[in-house]
Amino acid sequence: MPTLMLVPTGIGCAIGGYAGDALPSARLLAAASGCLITHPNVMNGASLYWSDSRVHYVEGYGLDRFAVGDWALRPVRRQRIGLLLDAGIEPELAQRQIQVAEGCRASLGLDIGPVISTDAPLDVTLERGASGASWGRLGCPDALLRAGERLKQAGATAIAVVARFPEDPESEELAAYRQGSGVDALAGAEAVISHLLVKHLQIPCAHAPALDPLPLDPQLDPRAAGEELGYTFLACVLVGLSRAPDLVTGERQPGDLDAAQLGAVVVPEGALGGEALLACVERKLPVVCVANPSVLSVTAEALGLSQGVFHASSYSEAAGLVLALREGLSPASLGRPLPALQRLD
Amino acid sequence: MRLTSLQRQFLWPADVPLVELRSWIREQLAVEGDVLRWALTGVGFSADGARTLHVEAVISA
Repeated sequence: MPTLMLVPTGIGCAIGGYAGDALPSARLLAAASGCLITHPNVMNGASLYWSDSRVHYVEGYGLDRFAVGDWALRPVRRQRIGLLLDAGIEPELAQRQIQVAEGCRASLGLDIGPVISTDAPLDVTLERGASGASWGRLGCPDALLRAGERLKQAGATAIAVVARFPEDPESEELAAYRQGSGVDALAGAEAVISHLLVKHLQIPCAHAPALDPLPLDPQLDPRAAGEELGYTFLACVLVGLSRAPDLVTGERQPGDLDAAQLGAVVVPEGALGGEALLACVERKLPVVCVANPSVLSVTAEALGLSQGVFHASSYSEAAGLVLALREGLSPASLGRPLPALQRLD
Repeated sequence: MRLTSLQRQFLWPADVPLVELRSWIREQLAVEGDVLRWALTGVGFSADGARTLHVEAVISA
């Protein structure tokens, strides 16, 4: 039963707000559903990753278009991943990215290339919305799109992009994130970069930031540890993209995944305000709302949504609900007291 | 291309049901430019009891 798992980027979710720390939940939901569509924020743990043929790795812009019904997903055996580097990355740090690509070719057998640098620095800036969610912008988006076009023309069927991000190792925000209590300040800008490329090129894309290594923090939260194991955040992106489905904007073929096939959507209970989720509500899909605190409070109750909503106290419970839906069981029959039959007058 | 971050507050019209809310928000944002990324980040109430929507977005122009 194709199931959509959403953990919106940059809203500080207790599960999934850090370095790929929703991955165990995604693996469980993949097993329960048999087919999970989710986004890089869920799957990317910098040096840590997990490949599962039941999981479809779809960047947020493509995921929204899929949920709305504009685009379909076409599973593929492999993608040829072009590597797009921001000209603002220092030479040594850029070489680290290239070595990750080389390592993924040699040790994982991924098809990577060509590599290109933008013709101008992308000039990433980080922002914070009034809600507390992280956002961001690029000073030079056209340079990103030009480089992406050249990679696609050269045969890349997916693009991994690495942009130089501003950093302040002394910031309270970063310290809070590393200790497991803050919002990922980079995530919003990362989403803007990948959204731009996917919107423009209609091929799978995902982003990794380029940052200098941080000094050792003995209090590091395990959820953020994946980002401190190496010099880059790129390995998980390359693995995720290597089998990301094609984004189908034209005629569908047998085997394509379409939003009409979705059986459920799983989302943090306060994060029901994204485009993909609202599109699922339009389709009257069952919505599994999981207790997973974040800075947002856009709940089913706030939206006045009651029909087809199932509340789960954990992703374990959510997986049980997904399995019940997959088996055609009414989730209401699994609890007591059994709700009274509705009688029409 | 120039990217701009937006934060907007709208009154949720009583005649717009939840199943039409996504399209309605997109229409409101479209007057500002080409919408790249957006989210409904809060639902509240105004002083007169009307429901309000807090939306954050990045648009290109």
